[in-house]
Amino acid sequence: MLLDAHLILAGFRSYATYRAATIAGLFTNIVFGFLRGAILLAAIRQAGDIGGYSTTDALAYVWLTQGLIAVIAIWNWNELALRIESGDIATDLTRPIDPQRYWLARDFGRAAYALCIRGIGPVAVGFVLFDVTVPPDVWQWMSFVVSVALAVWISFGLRFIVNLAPIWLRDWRGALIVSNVLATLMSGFLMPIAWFPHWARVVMHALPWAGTTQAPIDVFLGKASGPSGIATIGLQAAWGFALFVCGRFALIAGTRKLVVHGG
Amino acid sequence: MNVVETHGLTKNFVVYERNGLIRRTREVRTAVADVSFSVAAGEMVGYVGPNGAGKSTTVKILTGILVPDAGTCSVAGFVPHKRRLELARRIGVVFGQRSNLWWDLPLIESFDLLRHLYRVDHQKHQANLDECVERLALEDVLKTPVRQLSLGQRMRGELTAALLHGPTVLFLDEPTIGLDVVSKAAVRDFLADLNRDRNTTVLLTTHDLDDIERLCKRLLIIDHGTVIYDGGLNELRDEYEPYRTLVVDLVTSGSPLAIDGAETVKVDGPRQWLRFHRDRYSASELINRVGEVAEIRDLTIEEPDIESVVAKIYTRQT
Amino acid sequence: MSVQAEVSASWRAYRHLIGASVRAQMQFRTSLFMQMVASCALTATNFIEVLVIFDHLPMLGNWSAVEVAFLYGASGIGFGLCDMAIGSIERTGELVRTGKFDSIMLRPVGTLVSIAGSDMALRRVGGIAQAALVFVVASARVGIEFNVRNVVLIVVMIFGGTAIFAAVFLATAAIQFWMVGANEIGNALTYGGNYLTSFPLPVFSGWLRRLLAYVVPLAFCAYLPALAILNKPDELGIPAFLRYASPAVAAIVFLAAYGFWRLGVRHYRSTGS
Repeated sequence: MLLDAHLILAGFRSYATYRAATIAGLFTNIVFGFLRGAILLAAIRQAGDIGGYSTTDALAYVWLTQGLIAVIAIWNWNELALRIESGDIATDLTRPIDPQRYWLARDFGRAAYALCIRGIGPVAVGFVLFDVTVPPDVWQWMSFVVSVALAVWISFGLRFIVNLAPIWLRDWRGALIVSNVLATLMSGFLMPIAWFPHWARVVMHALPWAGTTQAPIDVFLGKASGPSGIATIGLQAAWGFALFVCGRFALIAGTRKLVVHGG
Repeated sequence: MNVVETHGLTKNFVVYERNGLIRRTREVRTAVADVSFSVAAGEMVGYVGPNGAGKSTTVKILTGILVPDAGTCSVAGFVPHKRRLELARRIGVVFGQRSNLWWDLPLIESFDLLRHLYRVDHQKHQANLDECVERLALEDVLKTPVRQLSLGQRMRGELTAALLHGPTVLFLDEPTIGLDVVSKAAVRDFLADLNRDRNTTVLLTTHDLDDIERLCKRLLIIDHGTVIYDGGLNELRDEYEPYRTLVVDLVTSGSPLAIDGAETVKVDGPRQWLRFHRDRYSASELINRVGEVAEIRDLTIEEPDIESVVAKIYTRQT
Repeated sequence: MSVQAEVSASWRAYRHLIGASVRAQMQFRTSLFMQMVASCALTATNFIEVLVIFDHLPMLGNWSAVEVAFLYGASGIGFGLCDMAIGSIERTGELVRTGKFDSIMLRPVGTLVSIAGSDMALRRVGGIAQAALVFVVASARVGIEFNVRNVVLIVVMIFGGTAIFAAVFLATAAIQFWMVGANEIGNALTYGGNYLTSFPLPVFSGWLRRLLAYVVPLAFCAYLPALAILNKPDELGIPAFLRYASPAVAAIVFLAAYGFWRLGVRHYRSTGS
């Protein structure tokens, strides 16, 4: 446990060095928050509520998703893939620590740092400037925190598997982009999943991507509370675990391939 | 005629040191202070100094990348920072750790592209290319994408790329860094030939003092932004390390020789090292004296390596 | 050298660099193809957003679905062309940080040409194709007359948009001379600008609209020329002649951005970082 704490801290620190990038990213996330908010607001004002979202729900949704972008970091994370491509992964494999555990701990450190500035920043801006839905009680807040942590876990699980792609694929960047497109479309980041047609909703809620964005937001807005809240968080945990197991098998297979064929 | 001339060249950088979250202190660091020197056409000059001494800042000013804060300079008849684009066509630059070639394209395509960028006449380009390809033995790798070249092959490619437009001055920054012994020798031979045959002026920045020893008669040593030595390699030795060492392999092992004018500094079985002053005694004189007292099987004369000479200058400075 | 000769020499150098960049990318055809498909899919997600919204309402403001699709397509083509042509200047900060900018300064070619030409993102063809498809279908459905006036206006809209986006790219890249490592700061204006111009301007309000539509004159990218082509009234009360001002605005902001870029290069040359 102490080791994990150290790894988390190291992850936090190494991302904390990218100060200018953090500020720039924060700025971009906030500008997009205003743009997206304006569009959803215009739509809801004209249509009444859409998919059960009032204007305050929609604004909370927009600013929370803008804050989650950097925390879950499901887009464009390729640190591990680059290490595999360059062969640096060999050093990771010689360390006396399980690589998956190492990267997970590091990722929680990364997420913690992202939360401090790029997570809180847009949410603070949105929540101060606009009238937004806020959880009514402490329980809902706490459930939200748990749900965000699980979202990071799921996101890591997905990214870990995709980032192992260079072991088998020369065109791993393609795989990464496919994963980006799926994440944008399926996570509830583009639009609340409730706004999609029924058939799409069913598919999207069942897949892991919803667990990275839509689930914490449903918990926050109370759209998933009580039994459905437990179900939402339970499904997140199940996906997190399932992806972790898949990642483990992929890592074992990948390590074998690297060791046998020398990468 | 001087191809490179600088007078009182000075460049300061402002650095901000962060202390605490927001507070930062402003500090002016002098990278180059009052540097004056000139290089005549056809000279090959080594530019030496420790990291951060101001070498690359000088080169960046001379190539027109940086604007100096004070002083004047001219390269190939131009004031570099005022006429950067025109100057670019008259100089060649090789940064050992940066590539000027197109990573994914065959080597020959990079050369072809450079011809268009530098707007070199086709015949002149072809003649330069043929010459470089032959001398650097690049024929076999011309169709190979740059990313697949070995470091040595790539460096030979970089040299060719820098020479295709027939520059009058060549700036080389660590051209042999990371190369294997064979490639280093090839690059050095090529540069020596180039300087001899084409009279190309070369300013060579390097950490590898063998490069200097092999190529440059003249040496500029810079430290803390100022030139602390400008002169010939031999004169440098005379001044700072006037001793040479005679290494003799005797037929029999024995006690250290006592020779007039030399000091026996080391004995290893039949091999002995005798240090002597280069001006006061000639090597043959000394060999005769040794021959009188012992039977010599083999001998060599070691020059002081320049590294220790430069180290001496640094210590004497401080 | 005269300005004209300089421009034509730069253009020639740019063409050669682009050619090399294209040949380099063609070496990995499968990869390129996949990236094109991905680029197409990524732009398409933005269009899905439009579709999802119009699934719940017939009009957004006084704009119908096809009309918004028309805007989306025009903005997407303009932005895509610009991103393909000079998008690689986004990497300016990285070039400065790694010292590669020095190598660029050593070439007998302008810095902008050298960087912009160094890596033409051929994959953007995918996104441009997607936007173009939407644009063609929307144009056919929206019922505009294809007379000379409208065809000219469409061409002006798209290339004016390209030039205005190019100015935005250039200006945000120039900032990186002072803020190395802040390449994402440009995204707010470039990708954010593309997002904004895909929707009718009245959707946005207050300082955001004033800043992005008039200060950064993104209103001239798609919205204003589209009003002229679609013959729509404007809720914002913008003078009607500005609907035709895109080329002039584009020229002015591009020159201004180029001046800013030169300033950035000058800053680099005096500070070296």
